[in-house]
Amino acid sequence: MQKPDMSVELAGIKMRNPVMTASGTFGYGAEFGDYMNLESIGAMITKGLSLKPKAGNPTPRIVETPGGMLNAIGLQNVGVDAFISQKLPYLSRVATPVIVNLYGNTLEEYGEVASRLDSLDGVAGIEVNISCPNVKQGGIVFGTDPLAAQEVVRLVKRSTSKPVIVKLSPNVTDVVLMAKACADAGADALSLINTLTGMAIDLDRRRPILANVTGGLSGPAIKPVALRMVWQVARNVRLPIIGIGGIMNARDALEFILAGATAVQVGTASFLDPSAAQTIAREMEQYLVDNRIPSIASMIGALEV
Amino acid sequence: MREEDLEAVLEIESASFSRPWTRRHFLDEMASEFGCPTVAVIPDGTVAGYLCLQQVLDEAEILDVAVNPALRGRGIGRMLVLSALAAARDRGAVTVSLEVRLGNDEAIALYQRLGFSEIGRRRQYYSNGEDAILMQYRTEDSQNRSLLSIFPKRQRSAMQFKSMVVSNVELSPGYFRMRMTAPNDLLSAAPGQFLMLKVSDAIDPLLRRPFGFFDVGTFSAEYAGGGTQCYCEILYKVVGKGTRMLSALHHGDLLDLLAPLGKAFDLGPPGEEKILVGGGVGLAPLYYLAKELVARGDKVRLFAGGRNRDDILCITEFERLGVESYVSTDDGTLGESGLVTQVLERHLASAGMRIFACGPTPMLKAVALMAHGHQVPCQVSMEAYMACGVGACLGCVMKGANHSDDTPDYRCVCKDGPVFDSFELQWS
Repeated sequence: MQKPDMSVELAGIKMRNPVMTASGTFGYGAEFGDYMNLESIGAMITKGLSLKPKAGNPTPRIVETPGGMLNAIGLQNVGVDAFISQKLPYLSRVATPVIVNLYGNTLEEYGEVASRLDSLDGVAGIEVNISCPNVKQGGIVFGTDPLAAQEVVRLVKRSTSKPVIVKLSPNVTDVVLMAKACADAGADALSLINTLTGMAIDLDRRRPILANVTGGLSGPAIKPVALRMVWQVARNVRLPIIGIGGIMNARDALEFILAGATAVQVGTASFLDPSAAQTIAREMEQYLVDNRIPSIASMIGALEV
Repeated sequence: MREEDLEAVLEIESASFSRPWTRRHFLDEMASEFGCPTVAVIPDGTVAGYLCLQQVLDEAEILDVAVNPALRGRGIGRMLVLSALAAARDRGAVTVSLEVRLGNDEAIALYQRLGFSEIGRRRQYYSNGEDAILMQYRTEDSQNRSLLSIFPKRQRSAMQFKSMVVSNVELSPGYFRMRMTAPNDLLSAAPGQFLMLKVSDAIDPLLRRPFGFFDVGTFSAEYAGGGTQCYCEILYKVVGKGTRMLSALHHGDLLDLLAPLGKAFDLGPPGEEKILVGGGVGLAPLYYLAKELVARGDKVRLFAGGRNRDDILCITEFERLGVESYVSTDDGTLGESGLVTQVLERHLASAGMRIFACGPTPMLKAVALMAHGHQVPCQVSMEAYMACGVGACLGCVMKGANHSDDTPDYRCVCKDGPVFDSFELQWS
């Protein structure tokens, strides 16, 4: 049998396969260059960028929970200027699309960061983080209020000619409402879900374990929630979707594709195994071979309900 | 070396040699798969010098080296040669050779100081009839190794491998020592580096756990069936679900490992007295370190502390290496009664010592501040929660010495550490 066609196109970004790395779990790519072939996956999404460098939260910043982990990194990042001068040159040498995740503390900052990236050939697209739950005056407001989200998306769209992916928060009552709002504002694609807000407590010390008290839950524990949200949004919004949430292996990834995702992001799994994204891409292809499925595109949204 | 550097390089080249290399020569070196031309640049961007190293298999050769005439006498040539030697060593070179003019006394003296020795002459080699001296450097000479310690050995990137538990023994209540098989490449792991271990294939516990190397070595030939088989050992304390599961493992159980990770201890110049300070599982990396230091012929003293006698592990192993040990416990159940830092303070001189510490953060802070007070160089090995071990999760950061909210300077324990110079971190 011929090799199955694993390629997908997402908002104009051509990818060799649907496997992307999730922002915040893959550094700036170089951290993983020793462990995997960066040209074996569909796209790389870099750590969330802000206009100025950001220190992030005090420690402890992470804690393991059953089947998952909570993190409250607080968007520590090098800032857009250092990203362009220090991180992007390495990434530009890799023949894999680079999508830059960005966020702003204010509406204006979203626009400013997006416009600084607009002219760079090494950037294939933008993923807008309107949903990071760990910054007090930041993302969560935009991520839970449909009108505020629309404002951000409109401004970012005006500031860049690159494809704009909006990353949605699951910490809302109606994710479809948020998705529609972003679609109406001109988003080219949606990625979901970001982490679920949670907390962990040290009983004996009677204190929260994270210095930030709450954090974002990721890992296999959130996969059922993520699948449900991807499925709901896919049925109601005509935009390509990137499925994220607890993907540990190829079967997990393919479930998201069936639910309606065009592509997937591998996050926490890269912490356990730095070559997880590559392995997942390879094993997805093997699944198609084993089941005589000619193309991954034919599986998108093919869930039988 | 980049094309942008070539103008400056060619200028230095023609100022330094009667038969200078041409642009073509340098371009060829830059393009060659065996070449490794390097440029030294001072902070204002001026090209200070350059060096062309070529390596085929385990033989490296320095083809060309020159320093900007305006910047000579500042040790730039020495640094260029040293970094080339370190690069050759990291790429597996056994010898590094070069030719130098018989009359170039200054260069010959420098090469000799760096560990080169004469292995031959080429009569009337140069156009003016001058002889060339052929010099060679052997990367495996112990003296040469220590000179290069300012360039920490670039470890091969971590390997992910399956490992079989060989033994898993409870040393004192709650403390275990586990030996696992490892690929022979793990022998490159240096003291201070660590491994990340997945206790089970299940998703709970989800994350790997970091452990410093207590020891890395090879099984005896009889055990390995005549071949070479590497092992590694860790010390751990049962503190939660992951370590409890680990403590239940037996000979033959399989684990998934990622190793070696992180930055190793800088052993410092030989001959200095080495002071190790640790307690509990903090003794683990210090044992592997002590082994290496003793093998180099350094005098090593160990200050081990803990709350009670159960926290004092493997002292006999240290003593068997010839390490002099000072034990203290909070409750006096073993050794002196009191804090390890109090005992240490009494024995601290200022010159000719170097401290290596691993243990709880308050202890490390006390040791670091004491070392600063006595002007003794000090390295600390930190522990932190981490998810990935490769610098991506940013869960394990510590504040660097110059950290402030406006100019964040976080260091990842996994990648920038776990070993830090005590001045690198903010202790307040």
